[in-house]
Amino acid sequence: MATLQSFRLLGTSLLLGFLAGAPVCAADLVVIVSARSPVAALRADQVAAIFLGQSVRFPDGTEAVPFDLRLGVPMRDEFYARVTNKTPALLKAHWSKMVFTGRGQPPAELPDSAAVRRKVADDPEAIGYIERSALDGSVRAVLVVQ
Amino acid sequence: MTSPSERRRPRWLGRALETYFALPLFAVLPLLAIWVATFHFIETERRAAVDAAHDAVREQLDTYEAQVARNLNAIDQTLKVIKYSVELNGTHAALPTLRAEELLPPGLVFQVSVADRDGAIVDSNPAMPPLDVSRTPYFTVHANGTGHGVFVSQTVGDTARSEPHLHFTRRIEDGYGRFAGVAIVEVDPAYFTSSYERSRAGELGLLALVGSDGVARAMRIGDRMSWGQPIALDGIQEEALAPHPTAPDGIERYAGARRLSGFPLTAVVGLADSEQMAQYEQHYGTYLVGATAASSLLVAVVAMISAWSWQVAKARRRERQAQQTYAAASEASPDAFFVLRSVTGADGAIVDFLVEGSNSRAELFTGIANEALRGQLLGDALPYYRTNGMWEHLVQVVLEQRVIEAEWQATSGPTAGRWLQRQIVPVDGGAVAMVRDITERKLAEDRIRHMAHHDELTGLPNRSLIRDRLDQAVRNAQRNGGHLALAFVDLDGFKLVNDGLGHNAGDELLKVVGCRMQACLRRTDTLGRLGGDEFVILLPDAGESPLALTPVLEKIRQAVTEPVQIGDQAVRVSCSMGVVVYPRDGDDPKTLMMNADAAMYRAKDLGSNNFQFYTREMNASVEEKLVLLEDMRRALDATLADDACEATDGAAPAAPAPAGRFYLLYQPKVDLRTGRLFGVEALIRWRHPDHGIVPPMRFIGLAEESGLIVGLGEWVVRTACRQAQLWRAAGLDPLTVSVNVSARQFEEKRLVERIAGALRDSGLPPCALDLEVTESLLMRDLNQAIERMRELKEMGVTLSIDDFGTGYSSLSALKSFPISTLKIDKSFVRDLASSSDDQAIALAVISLGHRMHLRVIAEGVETVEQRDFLLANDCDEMQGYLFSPPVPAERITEMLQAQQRQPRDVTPLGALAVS
Repeated sequence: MATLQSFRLLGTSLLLGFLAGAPVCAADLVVIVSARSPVAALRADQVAAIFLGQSVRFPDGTEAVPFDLRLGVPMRDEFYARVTNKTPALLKAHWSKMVFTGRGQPPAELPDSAAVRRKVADDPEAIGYIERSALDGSVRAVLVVQ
Repeated sequence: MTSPSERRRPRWLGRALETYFALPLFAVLPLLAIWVATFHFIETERRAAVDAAHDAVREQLDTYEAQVARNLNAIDQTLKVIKYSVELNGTHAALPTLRAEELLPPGLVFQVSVADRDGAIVDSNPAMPPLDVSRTPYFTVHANGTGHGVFVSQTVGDTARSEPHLHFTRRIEDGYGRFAGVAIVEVDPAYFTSSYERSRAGELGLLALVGSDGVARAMRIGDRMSWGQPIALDGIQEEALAPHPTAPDGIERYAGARRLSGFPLTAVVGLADSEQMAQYEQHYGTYLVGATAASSLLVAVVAMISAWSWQVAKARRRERQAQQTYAAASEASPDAFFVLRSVTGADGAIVDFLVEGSNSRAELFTGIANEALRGQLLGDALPYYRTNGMWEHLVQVVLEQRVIEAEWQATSGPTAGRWLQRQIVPVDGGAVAMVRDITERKLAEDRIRHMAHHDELTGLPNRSLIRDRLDQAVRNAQRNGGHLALAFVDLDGFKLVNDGLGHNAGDELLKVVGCRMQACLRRTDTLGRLGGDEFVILLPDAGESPLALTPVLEKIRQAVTEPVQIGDQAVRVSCSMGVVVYPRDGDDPKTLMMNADAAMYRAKDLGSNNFQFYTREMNASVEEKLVLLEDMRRALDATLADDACEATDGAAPAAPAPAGRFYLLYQPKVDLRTGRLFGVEALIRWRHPDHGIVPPMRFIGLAEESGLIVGLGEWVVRTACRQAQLWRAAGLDPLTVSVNVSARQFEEKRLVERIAGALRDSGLPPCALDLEVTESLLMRDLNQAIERMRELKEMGVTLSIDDFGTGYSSLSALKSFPISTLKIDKSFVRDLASSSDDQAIALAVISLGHRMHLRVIAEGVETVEQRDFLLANDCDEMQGYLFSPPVPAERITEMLQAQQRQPRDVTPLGALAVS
């Protein structure tokens, strides 16, 4: 448990480090929640669970409503590739099963990062992903996608 | 011992009930049970697996059907919504409106599109480039038909996307009910089989959506997606008990199909037999393995137990055999067996013995039956075992673990008086005592010992026992300072009886004489037989003076001379006894015996039938005798050598012999009437250089004892013959020469030969030779004597009886002797002048002789009176000092010559006699 804590600490510090001021890549993605959301930080696997419909809540119990970018947007594919380690085909298969068996629906799609940001900012339950450069004060980054 | 019930049971049954036989038989049951149970479980499990498969198929079919139904309904719903939206908002605004309302299905999965009446896709979500679908069945069916149902297309690719899709379409109508287009929902066929879960359907499970045309819209087997195959739906029955091969791969599956209501579709679920039964198969394998293991274990255990039991049975059989062998051996054994277990008291010391077993001979010894004896304490059953030493020995054997043997004479019980031998051997926890009756052996031992020490014929102690007793007596006398006497007794005349009446008679005589002598002795005296006719008497505690012994010795002597009745004859013998006294006549047994022997010989010499006490001189005479004998031998050798020399050289030898020499003297025999010398008696003399002339009385007896007489006698005969022949050859008056022949010579086989030889060699006519034999000699061995005498008579030799009247002879025997002359013994002649008895005897002999046509000659005539008497009474011849003593041959020659000068008819007797 101690190692987990230290890992978390490491992760957070790294995240902060990253956020603090190392020169950033433009393709950097961040997972955001509303600034009003109590969620402070999320692990990649937690984010993946939410976005794959396996979990409908944040770790603290509040409802989570994921928002995707539109199908075919490269940032979307990259996000899923990095966070869930799934190709689009795999994602399709996954969601086919989820929809077929009635276990869930894919996240709603939004046109671009700005829309996502707007949506997330408005909804404390929303969670989405944008490029880092699109960050602003209305949303909080809870994960930097590696 | 087998009990009666066991004996009744037939042997095969007995063998059968042996564990090693019965157990395997019985073990077959559990073995069967194991396998029956196993197969039962297997069958149960199989059926359960089959049922489970059926259930799984049913359940999954239910689920799949529901899922498909729901999805189909949702798709239909979407189609209806799209249609409504188109009708409401027109073809271009239909989808965006729906999108805004979030009424569109997720674009990730579904492609919704609207086609106008011309078949051109006017809108789609997700966006798609424009496409012409006017030729597609899913368009044409609506365009050309009027159906208001959902069309489900086959899974085909189209120009927009190469991958095949399923198209669900509905007809859109305008306000006037005219065909206005088609609402399309496209979906990957994989969508309809996306609920396939490996955990429920395995690798070979089948999930398929089949159209009512029999063509599969979507099929998934494991991970492989396929579509478009024809599927025979009627073959698939939900409740089919057995799996059947399902297309397209032909794998046997439990399968079920459900027609979906409202749609021309059937949901198909199949579960591979192999996978459903996999666990069963595994369990089947496991069960079999388990059953095999259990069986093997059972078989192994049973085998081990059987083997062990068989070994035990074998051992038991062997033990039984050993017991039988033991029982047989112990029953047959001449020994009594007692198997005893030691019983210890509170302090651990042995207090008694428990009889565990005994054999039949033990019954005889103890008088108690085996069954009664078994289990009893030895102290209770045979209390005397504590007193006869057995108890101590038993304890010793058990404590010291060694074997003890002992002999004893029983004093109580059935074996009282018998000699017994016991051998006690230690065994585990006790001992085994073996008792043997050795009475016979003891008796035999005693007999042998007796035989070793006693003479068989008479039962008297033999030489070795006598010797022992003598040693003992000498020791006692030494210790106590007492005296003992030893007497050697030799029977006289025994040989006569033995030869005359047979050996049986001789044995009988010995026994009787022995008894008589024994009767004269005290209990402490010992009479023994040394052998032959020699006895010995040991008188311990004799007085010092020999005179004290005289009465008993005289008694013995008299007892011996009493006549003995042998069969129908009465025989008489006498004894010569030599007596010694310890310590006077010797201080050790050997010396005593030697001196007793010497004394006995002296007694014999003195004429037998007397006893002589030992004197020192007697020994001397024995030694002397031996020396004399030796001298005699040498003298004879010298004499013979001289004769041989004379014969070859013709001259007398020069050197005198050291032992002297024998020579002959001749005593003239004169015819009483004519006074003429008609014969001579040859008499042997011995001139010893040291002792001078040795009288014949001394050496003749010795010669006869030693057998030297044979050689000596032959020399005498030869010399006499030669001499007589010399006289004849000289032309002198022919003389007969008489030679004394002793009994010993007569007994010699070749006597006749020797005499014949002497006559032959000398050339003397046989009628010139006369043999004088003593009366007593003849009586010793009548038959042989008569035979030899006859042979000699036939040769021409004459025979005379010497010393007639002094010996023991029967007149009837006399007439059977071929004799020619009787010689009256000198003892009768001596007192002729004074004794009328002697006169009578002489007269009788003369008369007897004449009547028997024998010549009678008187010996030892020394006085004229004697001669006159004899002449007056018709005696024929005389011999004696009156005429001439024995003289050398030369003197005879002179006499003969003088006689020749004298006229025949007148012979003054005195003229010839030369003193």
